[in-house]
Amino acid sequence: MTHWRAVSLIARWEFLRFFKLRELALSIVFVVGAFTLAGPILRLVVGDGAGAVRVAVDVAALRASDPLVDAATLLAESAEPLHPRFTFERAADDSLERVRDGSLDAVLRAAAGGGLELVAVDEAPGWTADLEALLGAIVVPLRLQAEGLAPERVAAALEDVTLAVRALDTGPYRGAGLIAVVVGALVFSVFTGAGVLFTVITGEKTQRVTEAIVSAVSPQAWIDGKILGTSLFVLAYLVSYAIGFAIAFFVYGALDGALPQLPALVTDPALGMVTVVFAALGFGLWFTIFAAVAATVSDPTTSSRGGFIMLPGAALSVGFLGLIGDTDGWLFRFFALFPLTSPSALPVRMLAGSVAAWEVLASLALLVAAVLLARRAAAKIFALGIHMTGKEPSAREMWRWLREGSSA
Amino acid sequence: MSGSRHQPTIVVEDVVKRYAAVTAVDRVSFAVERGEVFALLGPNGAGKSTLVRMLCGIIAPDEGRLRFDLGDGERQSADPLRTGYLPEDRGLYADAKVLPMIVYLAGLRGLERAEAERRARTWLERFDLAGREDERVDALSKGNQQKVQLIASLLHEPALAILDEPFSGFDPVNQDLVSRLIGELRDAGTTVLLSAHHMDLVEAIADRVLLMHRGREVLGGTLDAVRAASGVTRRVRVTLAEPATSEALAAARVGPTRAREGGRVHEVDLPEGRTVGSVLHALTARFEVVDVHSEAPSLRELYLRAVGVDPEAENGADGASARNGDGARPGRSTP
Repeated sequence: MTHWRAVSLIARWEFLRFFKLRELALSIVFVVGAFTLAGPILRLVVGDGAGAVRVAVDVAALRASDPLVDAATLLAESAEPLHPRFTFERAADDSLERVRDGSLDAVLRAAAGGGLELVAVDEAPGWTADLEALLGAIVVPLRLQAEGLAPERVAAALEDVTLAVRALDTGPYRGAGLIAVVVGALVFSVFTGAGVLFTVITGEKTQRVTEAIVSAVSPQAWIDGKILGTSLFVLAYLVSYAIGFAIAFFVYGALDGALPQLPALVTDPALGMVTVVFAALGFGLWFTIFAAVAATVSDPTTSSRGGFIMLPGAALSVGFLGLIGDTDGWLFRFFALFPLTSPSALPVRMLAGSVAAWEVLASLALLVAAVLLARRAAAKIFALGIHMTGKEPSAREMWRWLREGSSA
Repeated sequence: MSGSRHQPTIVVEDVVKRYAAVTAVDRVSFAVERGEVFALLGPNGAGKSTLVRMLCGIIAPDEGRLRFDLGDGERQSADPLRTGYLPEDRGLYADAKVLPMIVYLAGLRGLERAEAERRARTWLERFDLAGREDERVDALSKGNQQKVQLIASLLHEPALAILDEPFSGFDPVNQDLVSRLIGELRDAGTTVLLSAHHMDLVEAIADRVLLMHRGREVLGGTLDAVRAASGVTRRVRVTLAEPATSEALAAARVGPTRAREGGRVHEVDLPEGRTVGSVLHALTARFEVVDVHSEAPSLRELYLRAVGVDPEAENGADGASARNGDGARPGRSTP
């Protein structure tokens, strides 16, 4: 059997062990449901701040010959509702008592130093600005008329200004939200994949499956198949979440009456492809390293090497720095070239601005070289580590295996 | 299967494997002929499994050489597509279903999926596991998991089957099933190398054996050759009408004996070339013999003698420790 035939068999087995179509479909439904319902639920929980407000106007206490009095009186006596939110009534003797017990929100009355004042339970009710705007809208024409302007002149002066809005074409969406989603998805995926690998490899040692496999195929074929199968599994879930987001995107847009801007990953095939290729290679690199580490773990419940599971996610989290720092700075440029961080940093640099083609190619070449190197090195450690039980090999031993070991 | 029966399939030359504190295999040499059942015997820690792992290419020897010839030219390692391996440490994916598990392991040995499924169903039926194809492996009993592992190791019909402790974990009924299976493999021309400490079971099926102790070979060859090399080919147990001392029997030229039951019963070990009749002739000249029973010494007994342990003592006070779980039963009686 050829090496790659064995790899494909192992990859298929590893993929199908964890890939469950029903769970995948459920996860898509979950993503669609969660993101579609998020808006309405948020409104339900937080509220839109537009609850009804009842205000009593103490007309008797207002001074005459003041447009404010007229405005306040108008509020209290108008037969038509002047504002969808506010309900006004004339103040009675028990109005303040009703404010205390909550059946009335406030009493509007003359302030001692002139003008109007609100008497309410809170110091700053959230609707104060709305009430001020309403009073202003009523009192300004009254004041202008009081200054002797003809009603037609007042109407002309107060004519609404209508703005015609024209959207500026800025291209597809490349903002901070997209960067956060891309880096977040990468970190989540590599963490998930590393967790799967750790469970699988230490489980194989515990369940003693290793001898049956290694007597049939080379350790290199086994680790290659594992990495491929696990990467495909993670990518499948990543794609499923992307599909879920896309459906939610359109459903939410349809419910809201307008579709938001399409993300650049969808509208720019080159950017989308670079992101996917770098993600796949990044998974390959980190999973290879992690498989070798997991193979040296004897007891997953006590081994300190379980902490390594955080490392791939931490390395790819450098992409988040793109949200707060300069992606054209020397440090971020280094991250975009360094193979352990470039799967996250390079797509972020492309999302945040333009990147020279040579830089993309150099980063890709370094990443591919790192994957090939890690593949050979990891297989040597894997070949020996997978048979070890009891004491875990030291760093010095692993270095010796790297120099002397054979994985073919 | 091509080639003659006496062509070696495996040649092991001066193989050494050392671990940090112990030499697990110490200059062991032997050859396994094509189509024979060859057994590595010895207690736990004898070095059998280490040797088997080297033969399967799982670990490399520190010294010495391994050669394989399955009829398609000599190789330095066993061709995994033509070799079946049942590991001592049984291992299956606990969460996998029975049929896919078998098909996967057979696939790694080069068997196509459809053919593997077809054969697997036949084997499962034979091993009384029909209808359990879709059950998870961890839903099966330990014995049934052993059967699944055995099926997976032989499904691709290998030319060489390496079975490490094939009887381990089976009840007597299934041990017999495995014995029959090994016999069928031999009849089909498959070379079988097995390691075991169930010496009584191996005795019935092995063409040749290699007895190992602490990493070294102790005795080797056909059972007859091993017995001849041990100096005891048969044992005669005579019952006399009257008690007599061992010295009296020695004087009658019977040879050294072990007296039992106050001198009424005596056991005589016969070296190669000496017959039961010659012993009887010597005895009847001076004593009245009321009963005679002869048998070949068991492998277990030969092994214990070879490693310097008195089988009689082992059978007495603490036989269990020396048996190492081999479930010994008396050697076959050949009156």
